[in-house]
Amino acid sequence: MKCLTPNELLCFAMEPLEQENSSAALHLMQCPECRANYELALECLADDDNVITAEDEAAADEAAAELTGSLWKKFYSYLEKVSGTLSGPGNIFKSAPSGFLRPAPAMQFAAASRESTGIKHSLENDEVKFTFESYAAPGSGHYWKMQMTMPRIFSGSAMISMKVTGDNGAALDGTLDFLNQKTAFCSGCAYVTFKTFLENKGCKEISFAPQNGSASPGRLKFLPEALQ
Amino acid sequence: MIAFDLEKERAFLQRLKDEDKEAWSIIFKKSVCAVLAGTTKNGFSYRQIVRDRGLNDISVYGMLYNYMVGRGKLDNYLSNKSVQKHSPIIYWMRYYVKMLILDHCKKNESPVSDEIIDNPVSENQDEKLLTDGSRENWQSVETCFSKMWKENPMSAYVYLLKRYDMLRSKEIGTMLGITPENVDTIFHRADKNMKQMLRKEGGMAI
Repeated sequence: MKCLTPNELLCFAMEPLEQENSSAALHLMQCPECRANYELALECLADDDNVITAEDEAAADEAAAELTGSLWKKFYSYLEKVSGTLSGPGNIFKSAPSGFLRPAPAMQFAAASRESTGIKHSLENDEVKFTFESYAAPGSGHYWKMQMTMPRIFSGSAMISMKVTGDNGAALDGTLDFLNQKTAFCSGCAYVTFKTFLENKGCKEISFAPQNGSASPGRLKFLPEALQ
Repeated sequence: MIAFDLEKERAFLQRLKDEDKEAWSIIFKKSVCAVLAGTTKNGFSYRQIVRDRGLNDISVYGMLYNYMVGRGKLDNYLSNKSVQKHSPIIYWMRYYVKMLILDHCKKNESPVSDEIIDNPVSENQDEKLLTDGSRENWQSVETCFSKMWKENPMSAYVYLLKRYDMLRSKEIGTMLGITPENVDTIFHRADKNMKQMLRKEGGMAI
């Protein structure tokens, strides 16, 4: 018998005494890994008894609002536009769609969706920066922030610069696991080609491991200075 | 225990896929917070384990969200077609919350609560059952255990949980609606029964 899936483990935990569970029970006797997972499944049911505090209740909507919706959607909206710019006929070298580069970050993407990408703006002094940040808080020993500066000219070989800093803005050496690849950072800096970035844009997972340290996961996070 | 209704679960799953704020808010409360408010088998608080590593409730929630939405894992809930039954999504999510926390712990050492990661599955426990590990002996165990399950599932289930120290008598009792003393009695009978059956089968001594 194959190892049990989380759903099978949970179903077995919910209604253990059914005749059909005999083979699952036998598998648990043979497989230490599934046994450990079954213990987790049993715990999941027991968690019903754990008290959810009023604080948790209050945090729930705020937490959901922070994560669902906008950030990644806006990010992908931006990427779709620049991808189109890159692959468009006869447009190997194009400038960034400028709707993203106006002030008032909260409004920029909405504005971009309304504007044609053909509208020209001077890009000389504009940079698009995306900021990623660890889930770990500053001062926790696992904190990092990564700022990715998009190229002004979009071609496959254009480079995206990435800068990682830790507490107090100190540059960090280490390895970033992002875009399905591991990138070494020296003095807090590394580069990735725009082509690589677009090829792996579906990957939302990001973690940074400082030199001689363990990996700490993070998320996309626009900060006030981003896109300004 | 949460009642299961496949149609309701499907609808809830769709809301999660649509990144419905209210649905994700329910996951935060009933899956993430419910897990964090609990403790591991070894008595460590999940919340403390997470905090030892510089994370908080929202971080864990973010990790779950990224795993489920970012990696498209939500579809796994209904993907196993051979399984007609499903557990409620709330429980399913709790399972992944625990897995993500444990996985994160493996990658991030903490002097405080590392013991839970090292929680090795006791090899001695396997040795109790499979003294020489031979295939023939295992087949005897399979035959006897299957027979016991067919005749008295509760007895076989209690035997499984107690033999491998998965739960304490009190917890098993709560789950099955019997007293801890009854659990112990059932286990001793099942253990004796198993030994007798194995002797008849010519199998191992346990």
